[in-house]
Amino acid sequence: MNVDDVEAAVEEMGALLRLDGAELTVLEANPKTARIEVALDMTGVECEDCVMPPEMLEQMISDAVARRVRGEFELVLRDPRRGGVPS
Amino acid sequence: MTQVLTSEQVEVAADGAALYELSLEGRWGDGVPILAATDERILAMLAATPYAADHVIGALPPQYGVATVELAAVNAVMAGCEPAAFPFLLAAIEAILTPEWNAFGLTTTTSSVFPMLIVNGPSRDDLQIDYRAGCMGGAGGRGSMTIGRALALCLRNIGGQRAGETSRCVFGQPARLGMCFGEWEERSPWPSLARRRGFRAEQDVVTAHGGKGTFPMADINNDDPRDLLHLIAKSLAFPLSNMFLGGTGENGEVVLAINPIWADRFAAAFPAVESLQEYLWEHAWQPIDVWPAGNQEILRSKSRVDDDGRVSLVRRPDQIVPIVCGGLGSLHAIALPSFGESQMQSAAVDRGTG
Amino acid sequence: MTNASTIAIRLPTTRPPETDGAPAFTLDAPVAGKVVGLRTDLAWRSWRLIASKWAENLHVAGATTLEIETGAQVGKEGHDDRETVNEWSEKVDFGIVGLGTCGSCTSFSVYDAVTLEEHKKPSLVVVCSEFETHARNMARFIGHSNLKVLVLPYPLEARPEDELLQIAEEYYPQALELLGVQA
Repeated sequence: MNVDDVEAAVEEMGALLRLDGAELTVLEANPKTARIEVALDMTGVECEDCVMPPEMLEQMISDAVARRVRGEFELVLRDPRRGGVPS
Repeated sequence: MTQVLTSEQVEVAADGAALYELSLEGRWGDGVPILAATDERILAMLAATPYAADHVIGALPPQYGVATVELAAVNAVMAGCEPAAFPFLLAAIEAILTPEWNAFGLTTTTSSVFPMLIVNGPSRDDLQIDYRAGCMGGAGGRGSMTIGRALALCLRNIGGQRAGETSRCVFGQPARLGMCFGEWEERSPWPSLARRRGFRAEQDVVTAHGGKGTFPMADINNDDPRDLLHLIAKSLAFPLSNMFLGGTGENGEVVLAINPIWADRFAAAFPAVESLQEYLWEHAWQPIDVWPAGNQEILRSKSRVDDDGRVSLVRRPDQIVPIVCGGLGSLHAIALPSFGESQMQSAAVDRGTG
Repeated sequence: MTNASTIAIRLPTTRPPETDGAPAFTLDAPVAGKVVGLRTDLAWRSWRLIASKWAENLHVAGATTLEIETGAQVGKEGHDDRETVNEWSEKVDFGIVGLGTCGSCTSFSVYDAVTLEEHKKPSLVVVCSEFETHARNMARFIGHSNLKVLVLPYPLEARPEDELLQIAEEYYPQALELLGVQA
């Protein structure tokens, strides 16, 4: 797993979310453990319902990463709508 | 160091297919195409070790052919090892030649048992020793595919192990072509196998387990770590396990390969690996009435039945050896059942660099 | 020298070391007054029964028997078993070791019978026919190609007791003959 590839994949989704005022940040992308942890920041969001639901967002991030990263990985999305609890 | 090669040299057609045919005809192949053991390739192997070509590693059963570093290198070349992996082969030979591994018994038995190599340490990625998805077959890492194969070739060509001749194996198993995989240490919530066996994290270590095969287990219905471990323990204690055949259950280990997702779940309930082993051991038994009367009598005569009518798989918790490896798909565990009369052995990889 | 169409390769094999078989010993005397060692294996009940029948016969002939049973190949128990075999080898005048009816148990039966030979005692290893070649190979590999081997029918384990006792009687004279026991 290449960390730059993970960053680029998450940025694909981040660019879409930014239109609604949200931010996606990669907290961890560890090739040794194959763990990727991403945080969603919604402090700048005015229309919460406009941001795609957590499950869909997580799947889309996962798909974007899978397009760029070879091999298995485990994605954890920290989404404030889940009370900060990872999926 | 200037190396002098002394093993028998022959001239062959410079053609891969012809070499393959020759290896089959001469019975020094394993049925799969091999690389040509040229002096250049053998010397590259030797350059990766601190040993002279004529250094004797030991005598390999069953025929007790003398394994020199040169002969091991010839077999390593044939198997496709890269030179950096050669010291891992030497460590594997050292491990199986430890008397308590019982190479004498294991190379001759009717059982399918064969050395299964578990690698710990920092070189797993560089050498492509598989420890993630498909690590026990299918991932195709060069280190995994060639180190185990080289050991199998050494047993065949130096030890003289031949199915139906010097080895009385009834079925054998796919691992007899070679089996080598790593532990996913970075995903293990517990100290690695090598650390638990007294080695340092920065050491590359090869552990040889006399494994009878890969015994798969699966679950999709259970969310409770204790319940799932209970089922795993019961599965480990299958009634026709070798551990119930032999004497007292005092010898041998059962390796339990746990996927990383399950490992996280189990660690929430058992943060210390010793407590996990204890729990597995407490549940790895069968009631005596699982067996028919004749077997019951024998188990009783061997004092294998406790006051509550339980027959434990093994005598001690440390004989159940959890390791973490495999893919992130969860759902599965694999046991590597024991031959019984063999104790796993570990050896540190020696590159002569101190 | 090689030409373009050939290459020189090294062969991966080695020949086992050539050894002259260590000497085997015979009793060349009657059994009366002798101490006969019988080594059984925890795993094989058939052999335990045959050995017990032979012990009876030996007692009738005026010998005493010293019986041991092994059960392990490694670990503390394995170490203790080999130690027991070693001490037993010192105490007996000759010995009979069995049973070779699996790969590793044949190997260890040969190994324990060789311990007797190393004490310069007449020694006999008992194996089933399926494992005869293996026993002879193992004896040769560890330098004792002259080890005496008694071959019983295979398999023994599933046979009823009366049949096993019949086999015991049938093969008893052959066992004594191989050991050089005089009438």
